[in-house]
Amino acid sequence: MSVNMKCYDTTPCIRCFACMVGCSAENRLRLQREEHIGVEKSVQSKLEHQSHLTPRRKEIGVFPDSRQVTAFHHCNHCENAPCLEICPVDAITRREGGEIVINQDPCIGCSSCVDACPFDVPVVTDGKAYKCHGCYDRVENGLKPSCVNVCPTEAMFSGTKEEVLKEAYKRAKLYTKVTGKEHIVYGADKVNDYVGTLRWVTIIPKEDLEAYQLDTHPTRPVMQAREIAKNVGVVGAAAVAVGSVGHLIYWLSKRKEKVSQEEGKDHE
Amino acid sequence: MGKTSRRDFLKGGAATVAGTALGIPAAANAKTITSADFAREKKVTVLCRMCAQKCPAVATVLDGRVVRLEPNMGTPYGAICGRAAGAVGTLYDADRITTPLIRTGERGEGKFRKASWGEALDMVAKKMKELREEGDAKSVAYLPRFSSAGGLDKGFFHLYGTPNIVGYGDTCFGSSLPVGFGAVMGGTNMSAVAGPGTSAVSADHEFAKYGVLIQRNVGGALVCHPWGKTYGAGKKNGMEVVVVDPRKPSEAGESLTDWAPIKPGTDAAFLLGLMNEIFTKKYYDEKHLLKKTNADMLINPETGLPVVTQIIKKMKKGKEIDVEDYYVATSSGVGFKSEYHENTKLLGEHEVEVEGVVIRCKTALQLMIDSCSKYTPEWAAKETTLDVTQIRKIAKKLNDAKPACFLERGYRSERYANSMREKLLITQINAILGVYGHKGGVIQNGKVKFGKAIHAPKVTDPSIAKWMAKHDKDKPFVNVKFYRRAWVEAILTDKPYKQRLGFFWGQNIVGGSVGASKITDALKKLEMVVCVSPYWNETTMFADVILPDATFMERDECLNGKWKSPLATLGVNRKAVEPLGESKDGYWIVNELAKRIFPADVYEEHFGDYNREGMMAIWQKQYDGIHGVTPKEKATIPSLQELLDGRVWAGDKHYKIKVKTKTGKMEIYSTSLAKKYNELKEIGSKDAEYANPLPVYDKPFFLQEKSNLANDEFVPITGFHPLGTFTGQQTKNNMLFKSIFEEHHADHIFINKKKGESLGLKNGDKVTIYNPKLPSIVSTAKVMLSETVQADAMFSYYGVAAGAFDGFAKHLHHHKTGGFNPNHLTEFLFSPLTAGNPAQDFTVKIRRA
Repeated sequence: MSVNMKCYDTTPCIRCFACMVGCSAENRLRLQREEHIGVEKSVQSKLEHQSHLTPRRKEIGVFPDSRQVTAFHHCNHCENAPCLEICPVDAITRREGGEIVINQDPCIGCSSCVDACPFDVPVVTDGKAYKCHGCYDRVENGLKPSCVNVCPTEAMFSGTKEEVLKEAYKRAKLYTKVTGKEHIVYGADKVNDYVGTLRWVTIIPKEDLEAYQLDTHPTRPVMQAREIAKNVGVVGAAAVAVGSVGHLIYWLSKRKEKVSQEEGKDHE
Repeated sequence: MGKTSRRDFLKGGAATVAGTALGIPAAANAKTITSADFAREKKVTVLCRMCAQKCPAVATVLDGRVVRLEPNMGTPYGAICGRAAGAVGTLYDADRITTPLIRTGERGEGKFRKASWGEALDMVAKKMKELREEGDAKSVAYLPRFSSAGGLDKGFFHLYGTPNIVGYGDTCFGSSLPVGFGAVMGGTNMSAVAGPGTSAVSADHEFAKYGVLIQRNVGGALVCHPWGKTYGAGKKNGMEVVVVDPRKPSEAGESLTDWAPIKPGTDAAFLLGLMNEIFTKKYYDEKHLLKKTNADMLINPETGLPVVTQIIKKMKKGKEIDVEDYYVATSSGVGFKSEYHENTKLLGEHEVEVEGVVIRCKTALQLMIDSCSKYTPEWAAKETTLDVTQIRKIAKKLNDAKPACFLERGYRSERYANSMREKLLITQINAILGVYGHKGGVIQNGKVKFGKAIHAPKVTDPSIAKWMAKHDKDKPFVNVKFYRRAWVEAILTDKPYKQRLGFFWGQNIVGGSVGASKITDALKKLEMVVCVSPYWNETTMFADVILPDATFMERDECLNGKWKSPLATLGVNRKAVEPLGESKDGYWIVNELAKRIFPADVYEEHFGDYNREGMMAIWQKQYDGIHGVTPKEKATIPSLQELLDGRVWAGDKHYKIKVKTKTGKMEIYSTSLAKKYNELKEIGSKDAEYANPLPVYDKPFFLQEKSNLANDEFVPITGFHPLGTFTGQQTKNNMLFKSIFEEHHADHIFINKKKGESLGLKNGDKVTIYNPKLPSIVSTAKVMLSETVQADAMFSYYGVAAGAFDGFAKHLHHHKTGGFNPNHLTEFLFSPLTAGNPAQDFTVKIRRA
């Protein structure tokens, strides 16, 4: 199975928020289907942790050379997925199509993924972490992700990596030609070693990378600490970690707890 | 080991570092959903009514609940917006009205008791029957919205005997657009403007190279099927746009979208400057003007009318029709257009001898150029606060792109005294550039027309608007379909006759039109107010009886053929789930009232079929009478059953424009307006200049009083939030939209940062807002200081905050009271001649609360 990819194109987007509302609605459907919480109940609350695509709007410039910019905040389904790497209970998995998924059942809500994510994506609510799962349930059954499905302008599109990049480069080339400003496909090439390439790419004028809050050096110190832990041993790592990356210790503790539970089960 | 929260653990620090016994990773199971899960989903085709536009959509029903709305991709423009994507939040809003209610307190107080359907319907029917039997059916007005029982309701009220079916388009653009557009394109009866309709044309975004977004924010005032869809396609194809707006909207595009931050109310000045530049630089196509417009028409400057005309016969679609032929100038003298065709002179002064008298005439274009000459780009820049180079650049870009370019035709832009002038100038400029009917320009919308389910006898009493068009010299251009504020005036003045019962079906007149305090006075004066609505709004607070309506997801509807789309489209909304609680669909409500009001034989004649067969009785009659499409298109329309099963049919795209003027030309110089202008001058109308057919500047009311605003004074401009709607009934209390509204501070007011700072304000400060002319009503709102709002403007998202008449918000758990709705603070004013709704043509002052 080829790797799946999504693309957000800032040019045809009309900021209607269908993608964001659609995401929230689809997750309420899942609550009904999987948790038996009827949609008539779930729509009585905001359930922000069930909105995996959110706006981060800010103003740029000084009147009249000014504009609002709505950054799309979402999981990028990184090639290197630090959240998956760090999760102490392996609650985060990579689907066959490349979607990085937090599985709430094993999740212990330790926030390791929150600390590891350079894009500030996972949120922890009531002891479980949540983020975009790429609508893998839909995609694996031949449907488009919800955000893509409801987008009225094809600003959001998806498919295999090859399909998406072909279309994305085609569009970026046209926009560059029409506007005279270089357009790029952020995330198509390796962003850095920490995240690798991204499976949610963005077509954007190169000069707007910062405006759209697209980080060209995404990193978090926590993973480096963990690498040390792996290499030089726990005590040394703990010494490095104290004060700054306390969750590492927590991770180890939780790990032990979990392991002993598993062992306990074996004995039953 | 007991449970340790992360925080507690961190408190313990490194001392509790655990052992190193790391076991085998536990298997983590992602939830595996199979195609069987999706196979359980039932699909029902609907036409979304989260706003008025009926975008074809598909509702998913799972375990008896609607769980999702997605676009119906069975049409070329299949698309929905965020409002539709969150429709489930509106359907299952726990604060919806789901039982009939009868008022217990004073009107406006919002106190009601639950009632049975029988009691509520009897109460309404008794009053209506009494008025009818008194011979006073015309004292009942029906104010429908898009959400009523189409195909049955209007017939019911006509059968009842009232001519007053009062649309709400006068508060959108139903007053100014039919006149401004119709003056050039024809189709209007200027003594009572029926108009070419507000959905006559669309910009062909998909293939446009350049567009001027004026009077309309394509994203916020969102109509995804097809405008949003085609706009996105245009941007994807490299269309460039400039947004002429006092506030830069994100919806039009954030990167690489030009912004002309215009002073509120001065769009007409910008358009005049643009026209001047087009004339000066000869950015027009002479051949086009000679062939398609009346630019070469010789006008007598004394009368403003064509100097010589004759009626000739022409063949059109196999029929002989009368066409007005007019004098033109040629190299060999003057004569009729029908003789010289395109070999005529576009410019200059020419002598015409009429009955022995020599009249020095000018061509229509020459007159326009002369009239426009003082409105230089420099003048326009001063009036609008825009940069003169930007105005010139826009004109050049239009020239370079023409005919694949457009000026938007406006949307909910009934805003200022000069709104009609703005629409006229937009139409004139588009016509001069030759964009009408061209690929990438502005093209005719298609629509399907149907047979009628009820053939009511013609009502003999004139409607209030028809009377006003004839007898009220201040309102000669009042729209006879859309006149809800003229209706309010009729209640207050008892002219032309007394109004006694207002029957509101979804319309929120208090929230959505100018002059809320007078409107509420009028509602209090009526003998009965009936509201049919699933949602609380300002107007329901004045109801004696509220009948709980179903939402679109809970009812079957009649066939629909009217969209603002270039493609004639045909579809039908089907019921996805049963109505919530005791709410009922509109057809049931109308039928129950009909049973109670009409004599048995009348009822049987008009409602018998519906009573026995249900919706099929309406569908069949509609289907059997389909017309308005080409024979070729008609041949492709699927069977009724296929449509009912969810197929949406779309016709072909026609690159054309309907011109219905007497001359058969696009009248860039409007002869119908010229005649009206003369009549108005003759009767001494103070507003005659607003009807001047030449390009002239009409100032908005607030600029007639003063040219500069005080530092604490603002023009309250509004725009739709992409998740908001007209007065916000469907969207205010929807929790799926809440986080985004909050992130955008959507219930705040937005003012220019520099100006706000000079007033000592900072983000989040509470301010009171009042209209110095109506100081008794004060609103309180939080302020945001913005770099994307022009200094004279105070921007608020329309229909998001509750406003000053916020009693209804107490019925909603997720909606705050207070905030700002400009309609609540306005005087009860009319735009000149059109009786339009000058929604933003006043100023407010702010004080720190």
